[in-house]
Amino acid sequence: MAQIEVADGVGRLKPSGSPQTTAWDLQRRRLTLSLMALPLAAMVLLFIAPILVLVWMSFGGGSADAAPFAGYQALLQPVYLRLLGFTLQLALTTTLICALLAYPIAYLMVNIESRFNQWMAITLFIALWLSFLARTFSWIIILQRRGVVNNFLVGTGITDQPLELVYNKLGVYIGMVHILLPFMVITLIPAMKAIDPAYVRAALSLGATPAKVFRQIYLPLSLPGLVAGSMLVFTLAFGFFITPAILGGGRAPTIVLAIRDQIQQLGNLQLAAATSMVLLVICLGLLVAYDRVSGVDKLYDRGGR
Amino acid sequence: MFKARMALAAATALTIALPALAQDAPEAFKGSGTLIVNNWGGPTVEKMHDAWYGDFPAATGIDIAFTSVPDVAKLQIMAQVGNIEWDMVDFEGNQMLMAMKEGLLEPIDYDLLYSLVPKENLDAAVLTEYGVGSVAFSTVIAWNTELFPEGGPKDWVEFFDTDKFPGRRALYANPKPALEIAMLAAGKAPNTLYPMDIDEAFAALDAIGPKVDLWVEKTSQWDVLIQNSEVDLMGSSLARTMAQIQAGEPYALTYNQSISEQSYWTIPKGAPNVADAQKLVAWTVREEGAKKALELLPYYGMTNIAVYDDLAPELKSELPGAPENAATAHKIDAQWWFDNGAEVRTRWLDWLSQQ
Repeated sequence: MAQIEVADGVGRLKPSGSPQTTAWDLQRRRLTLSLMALPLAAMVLLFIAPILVLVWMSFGGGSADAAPFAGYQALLQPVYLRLLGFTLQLALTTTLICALLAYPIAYLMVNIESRFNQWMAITLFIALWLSFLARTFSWIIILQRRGVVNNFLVGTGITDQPLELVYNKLGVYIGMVHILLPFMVITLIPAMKAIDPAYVRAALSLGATPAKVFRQIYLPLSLPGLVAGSMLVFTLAFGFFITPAILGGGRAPTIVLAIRDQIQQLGNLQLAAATSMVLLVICLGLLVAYDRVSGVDKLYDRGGR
Repeated sequence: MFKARMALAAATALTIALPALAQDAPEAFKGSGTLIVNNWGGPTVEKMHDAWYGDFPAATGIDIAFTSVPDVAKLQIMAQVGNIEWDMVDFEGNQMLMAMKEGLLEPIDYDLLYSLVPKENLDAAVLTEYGVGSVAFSTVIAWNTELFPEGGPKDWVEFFDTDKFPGRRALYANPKPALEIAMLAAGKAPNTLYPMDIDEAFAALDAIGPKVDLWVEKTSQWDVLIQNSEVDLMGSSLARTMAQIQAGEPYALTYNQSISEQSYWTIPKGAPNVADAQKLVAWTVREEGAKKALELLPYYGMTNIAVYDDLAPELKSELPGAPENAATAHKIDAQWWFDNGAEVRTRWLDWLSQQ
């Protein structure tokens, strides 16, 4: 099966996999190294080096009179813990809602033969091209006191008073889910496309109910896409601040808002770097935990057996 | 035919050249190259450029290019790596103090400045060692005239009187000037607030907090809020509100107890072209520029106060910087915010996160 071949292919690349090294192996390794040199250098320069600078700054590097742990100590204040807690909750809830909404959308786009699919894809991509800020302001026009939704609700007599749909946490969730949903969908689509329909047909022909087929075949096989999409949406949501700040009307302050203040208003780069490090570590921690729990690599083995 | 065309071309060239000649700069102001000016961007900024230094390149031979936005942290990092990109920066008062503390600014060359503009024409309060007043921008009380045809709140105490003025209220999501507004709403008089008792200020904030329906993060939000009549009472940006009123939106405002904050033109230490930047700083406070600025953007206080002398009284009453209106305004104390900013802003976030 496809999965076994991939797994073996990875195994063969490992030096321990082959007992004796042939000239061909050597040459291939050399070629790999020289081809990898440029991307590796780019990774180091553009991603690893800046993070190291951030670590250095968070321990007081760059400021003359700083105590090494002053930044991290300041982060123990209740305000930062509260902001961090709220931001985590916001990002997790947004991710969960996005997953629940995106899964059926992606499923439809992959499994249903229709010209409608193309339109769904185009609509998704157009949403991605528009700026976050423009989409944020659009939601205000739709959700505000005299917005489209409230005009309809009050005009048709469904409600007497306009509903409070924006400038609160509800507005923040609506805006964030809308902005981040396309990321989840476009990550799920390739994962679902990679699922061989033969598995589903085989299970069905052997008498499994559709629900069981979904639970035991389709969902586990699409899980890597769901995990990748969730990580993407979570990290983006974790770093959002302007959408929550505008749609929340001041009632959804995030930790990133604190970082902005630390940089622009307090000029405390050490504290800002320390706060950023905490966000980074949380994201990395979640990535590891997610990987452990969902067992992304194990899935391939199980699928092959 | 050819001659006629030449004559026409010559005449055109002459009319183009004439104003430039008429505004020719003193020899000390001549130069070359390009200055990078960093200010706040947005729709008003082009008008500012026109008013203050639209004629500078023609008169001096020094070109100007623009960037935004002023950021002390960025300047600090530029200084650390030894690559300053800005020649002139429009810093808010406490930003200037932050930059001064880090030793990031060049002292202003007042000899050069006074050689162009007489000292007595300028507001001495905004001429500081490292910065020359650019504008004073204001936060004002504004209201929906359809909801309150009889007139709006005359001060911040009335602004929060929910019996007299029922409606939705919006303020800036920023402790500066939210704390000042809270103190004025508690009945304190303008310009008596500093040094502000921080506990007292936050107690005052607790009192008004529940009455604020939304906190505004970005200045551009005021446009959207006004155009859609989303809020009925606002402590909003004077420039934004005035522009919407002039566009026909049913809002009105008062200058009484407006809160004004002074910004300053500064020159980063080690800027690529300090000498030419000094010339440009001086150029911004000329009476010609201030006059044009009042025409194009009447919402800001001017450093060249001589411009207010010749104005008709009815016109003066419309200008926030005119002495009569400035007297009822509360001026933000940049030094207090510089000294207390770290504590107050952290506590503000704490307060906001519990709302």
